[in-house]
Amino acid sequence: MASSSMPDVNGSILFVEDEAALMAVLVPVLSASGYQIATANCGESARQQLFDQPFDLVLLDLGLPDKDGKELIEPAVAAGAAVIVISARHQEAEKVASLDRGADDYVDKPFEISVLMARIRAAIRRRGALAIRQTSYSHGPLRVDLASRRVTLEDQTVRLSPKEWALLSVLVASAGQVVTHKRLLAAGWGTASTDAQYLRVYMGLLRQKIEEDPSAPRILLTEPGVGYRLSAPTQI
Amino acid sequence: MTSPMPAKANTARTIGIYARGGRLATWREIAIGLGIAVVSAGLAILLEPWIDQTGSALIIVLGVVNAGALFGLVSSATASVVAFLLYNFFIAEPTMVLRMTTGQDVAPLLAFSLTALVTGALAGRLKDREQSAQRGNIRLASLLSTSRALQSTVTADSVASALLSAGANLEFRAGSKDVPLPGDGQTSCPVMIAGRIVGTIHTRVDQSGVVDADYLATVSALVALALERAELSAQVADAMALARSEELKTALLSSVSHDLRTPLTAIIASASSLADLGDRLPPEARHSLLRTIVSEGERLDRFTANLLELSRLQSGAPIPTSALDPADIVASAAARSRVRIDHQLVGRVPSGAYLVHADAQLFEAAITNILENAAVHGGGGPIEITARADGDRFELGISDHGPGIPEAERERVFERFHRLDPGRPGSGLGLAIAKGFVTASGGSVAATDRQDGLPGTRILVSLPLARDSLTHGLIKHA
Repeated sequence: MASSSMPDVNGSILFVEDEAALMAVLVPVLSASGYQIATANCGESARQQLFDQPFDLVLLDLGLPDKDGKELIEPAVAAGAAVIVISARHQEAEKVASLDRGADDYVDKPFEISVLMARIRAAIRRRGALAIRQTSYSHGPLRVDLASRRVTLEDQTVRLSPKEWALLSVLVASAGQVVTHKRLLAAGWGTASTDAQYLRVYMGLLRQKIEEDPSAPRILLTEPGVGYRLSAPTQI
Repeated sequence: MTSPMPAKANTARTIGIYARGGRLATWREIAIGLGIAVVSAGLAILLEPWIDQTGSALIIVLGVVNAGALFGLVSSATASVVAFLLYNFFIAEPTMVLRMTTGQDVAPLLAFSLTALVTGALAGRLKDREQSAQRGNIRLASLLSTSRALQSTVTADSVASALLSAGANLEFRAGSKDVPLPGDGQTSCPVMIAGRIVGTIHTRVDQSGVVDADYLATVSALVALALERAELSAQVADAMALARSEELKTALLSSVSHDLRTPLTAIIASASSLADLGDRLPPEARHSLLRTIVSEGERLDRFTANLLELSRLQSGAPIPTSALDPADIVASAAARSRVRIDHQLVGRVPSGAYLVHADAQLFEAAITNILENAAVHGGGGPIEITARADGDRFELGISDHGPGIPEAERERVFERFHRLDPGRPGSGLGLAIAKGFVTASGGSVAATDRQDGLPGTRILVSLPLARDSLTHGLIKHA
């Protein structure tokens, strides 16, 4: 577990979930991992708690008994919290809508605890990094330095076209988190209405340059129907 | 109009109204014309000494006009020809010969004959018009009643019976087997939909005298319309049934997806936490994770049992029942659901007291669902179980201390996806599945008040008692 090497990654989490079983699992596990955790089993309770105190992150199950979980995303973001959506719904539309409303990321049910932890860490780190910008990324042999615009693979410089660089820098800024097609298109082409086909082509080109095996990507991951995700950075 | 000429393939539509009676009718009319001419000429000859030639001519004209007025054109024409000959022979000078000597003789004779012919023809045409108007009315009425009868049909099968009952006594035979030969145009007609022969209508016994090729063609068009409509409404019904089943499938799938994935998520999250964090978790947290894995595994087991039983029901095969002791079933259902529901179970079914006819798996799944429902919605109090025999039925009551179900909702709680309080967890399937299972075993389920006046719900399951338990005196009322 990578978190063992970074004991400083603590924070407060509001867990919004109506299933007692999941609550019973995640509350002790997140507490043991150093997070302060509050729970809400319905939308109204969650709204109230967001109003009462600040949270670093809201872990939000979309299927709530009293309202659509998505309605909580804006208030949570407005209260300064990062939002990770948990949903059994595997519909891309739900995920995209949640991300469009300001959610940082999502996890599909069922998930392994390490995946959830990595997403929580990435979301909290990025929220902190909004003030101090994320400037570099490393994963295995890959190094990306945003300030000097340098990309190296096993210390060999990788040449990127301006468009490839634009896309990669957006992904690096949100390393470990999903970035929607819309945001990538806006970054690369200046408009989100561009055909997502172009995106696929450029992501293919990027993979050729930064992946060991472009056909089995380990760094630049596809989130089908939603967008792309740069794997969580490896610690140096 | 009444031509009895034999039908040819391409003249089938020009055949007159009297398809079969034409020849007879014409001979009858000629005979009547002949008779009237003879009678009126006889009267004129008898009276001639007193009323003069002109008077007797008028009597004959009167006869011819009447023949036309009463019996139509054929009668009047016959009468006028015959009367002319008789007049010429017996009355006009010289009598007893068919010959004209002078222009003086010819002129009145000619005038008389023409008058008789014209007035007879006029009267006859009127009569014919009246008759054909009458026939037209009958045809129209018959077509209307046929059309009405056909309009009320909704299935292809009812078209044939509607046609039989609708006055004209026509028979519809589906299929292209009995397609009429071209020469059969007067007695049968194919029914076509979009250029394809779908059946034939046949004349059976025509008492009304209105059935001809035109009539058959019209009725065949009506039948085609009715069949087409029946086909379309069947398609609409199919489409709606399909849409409903699609809707149900979608709802079921999303419920399955939720009901399967939620326990799976808890199990995978628990197990991966134990694997990843291990010693860093406090002992009580580890214990709680292990317990979650067990209880959520059991929840999955209950759910898959439901699915399996459901698929067994939906295969449509008859459900074999056997004689069961409900005490065993209730005990195993309670054990199955007890882990999840930390409720107190009060009362029990005495062992060996009853035998019911049911399918063991379905019965147990039903009781498990009812217990689960009582656990989730029953207000947290104890769940009470009662058992008794009522005639040849076994009645099992499962009561809770929840808010109860309003009178108006007591039927609907057994509908699929119907939820009293959408704010509470649940798929809206539990009671519906329970009802489906019990019904498949020949029993019934109902929601009632608690019998002790306290708020709460009692779900009453009724199953047929096995005959053995009646005859062998097994029932010792608990």
